[in-house]
Amino acid sequence: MIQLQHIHIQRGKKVILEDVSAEVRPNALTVLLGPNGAGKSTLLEILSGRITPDQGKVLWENQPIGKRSEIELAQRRTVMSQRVNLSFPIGVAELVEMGCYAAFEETSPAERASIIKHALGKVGLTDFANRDYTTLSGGEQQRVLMAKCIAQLECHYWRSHTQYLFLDEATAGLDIRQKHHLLQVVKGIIKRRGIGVLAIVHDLSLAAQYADRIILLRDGKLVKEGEKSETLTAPLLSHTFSLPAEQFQLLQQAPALQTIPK
Amino acid sequence: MRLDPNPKITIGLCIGLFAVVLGSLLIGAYPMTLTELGQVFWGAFTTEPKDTSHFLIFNIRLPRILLGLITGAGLAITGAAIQGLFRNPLADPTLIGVSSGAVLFAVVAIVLLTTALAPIAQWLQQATITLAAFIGSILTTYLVYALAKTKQTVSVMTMLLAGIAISALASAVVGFMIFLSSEEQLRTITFWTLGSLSGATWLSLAITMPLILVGIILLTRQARELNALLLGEKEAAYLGVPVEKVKTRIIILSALIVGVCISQTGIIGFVGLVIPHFLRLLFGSNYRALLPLSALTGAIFLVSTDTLARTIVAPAELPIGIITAIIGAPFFLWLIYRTQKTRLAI
Repeated sequence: MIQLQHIHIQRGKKVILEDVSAEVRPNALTVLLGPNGAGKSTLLEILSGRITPDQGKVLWENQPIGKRSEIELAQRRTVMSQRVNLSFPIGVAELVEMGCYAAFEETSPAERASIIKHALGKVGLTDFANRDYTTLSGGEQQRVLMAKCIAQLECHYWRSHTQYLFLDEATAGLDIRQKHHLLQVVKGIIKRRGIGVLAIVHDLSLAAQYADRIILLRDGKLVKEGEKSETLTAPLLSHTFSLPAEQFQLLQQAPALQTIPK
Repeated sequence: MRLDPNPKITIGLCIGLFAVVLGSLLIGAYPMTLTELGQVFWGAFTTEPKDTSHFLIFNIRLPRILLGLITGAGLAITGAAIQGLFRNPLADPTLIGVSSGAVLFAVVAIVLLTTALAPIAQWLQQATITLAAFIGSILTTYLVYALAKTKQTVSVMTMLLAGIAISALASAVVGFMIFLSSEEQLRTITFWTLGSLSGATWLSLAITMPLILVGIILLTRQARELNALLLGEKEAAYLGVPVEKVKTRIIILSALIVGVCISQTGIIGFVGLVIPHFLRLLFGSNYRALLPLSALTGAIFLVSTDTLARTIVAPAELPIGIITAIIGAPFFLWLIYRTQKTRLAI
């Protein structure tokens, strides 16, 4: 479990996060919700160990995270970003293999090849191994990046510590079907491997459908953290997004109404 | 699904390199046949009196070919690495001012050497010029990188503008040298600005070859890091790449190779731009293959262009930079056109 205790961070005079305590549990999908500028990305970067807060504690499995090298962090967690544009052509398999960077010494070329195959299979791009990443559509590129993350996770399951996956608006720019597919893949990994996942998602119905836990953030302050049933309520959402509560009435019935597209 | 360099391509290029070296040994103002060349090499191991062909091969052509080989490999591999570091296809040691920075420092060193430090030994002078060029290239690489780097990307505009400014400064210093120089020194200055392999001696090779070879070997070890950097610094860090360390390493190694090359040959432009791109078009951008293939192709390219430079107007010779620029500049224009069209990397 990753725990944040009373996190405070500011850039110059602007306070980005103020007294935020939250956690990312293994075996669950935690969704981070909040309007733009609420400090979601900063919170994700603190949780993933990329930046250190000015005040407060970051605990990984009850241990202070301290200053870890990039490679140590990469062996514990994987991050998927919104979009990656490349200036040079590169093969899909080569890009997915980069996920194995932090385990390169410990894996054989054959193992890596089977991991790449598995990862591409998971996102339904088995036939794309030899394609050039830069010629793919936005949605396909996003799936390749997901495959890279799957490869990185696959390389480190044998380690004793829990693996974590962070999705930094990874569903942005995908169509509704692709969004569902991506989150289903993530849910599948959680079920099989018991990893902890934190996702920044803008789509409330997606959050309602897939999240186990929710963190609500507004203006750098924690609104509420907890199970979906306690957090995804019209009054709390109305406060978080500064919108009238009626806007969210439908949402509470949404999970029951929607069916997952195949 | 191929993840490692194709051995067939590597072997093919090695054969190509051997053929080019052999051709370059035979062709020149004084052409030789294969049998004569064989006799010269055979003669080297016997105590027979040495004739002019022996002198020509061992004191002129061979050192020159070796220098061409090593600088071609060095410039091309550095071009590939710098393009990866800047995440930009238009980055090239000459275009972003790194070469000019090296020349600037080398020229200052020469001025000092010919006045204040004149009494010191020949090899020490040579080493000082090399060191100065290295320092010049490392400082300019860092300067350009620091200026051009924004939060997530490296701005091409700043990079090229910084290159223009540094080149302008270097050419002002060189211009001042021209103003002061005698007829003979003028030739030396042309050498610096347009490049030539004619200065190759066994002494200069003894200093440059080990340095450039070590640089090339260490640079090829950064292939996986350079691959990861294609995704951007943030992504590379998420994958576990110690980004800051790797950047420093690549900058120092590139500056070392470029600095050493330039201290021996002057500015030879476009090699670092053309060769890696040519290979990218053919085999993709995987640095595990790109780095060694760039070194091999760069060597082939420079040995052949140098053979051209010393034969087309024989017995005189053209500065090699003229030929590489004639090939490189149109390629660069085409690259800009293509970049504009496909909206890559702006």
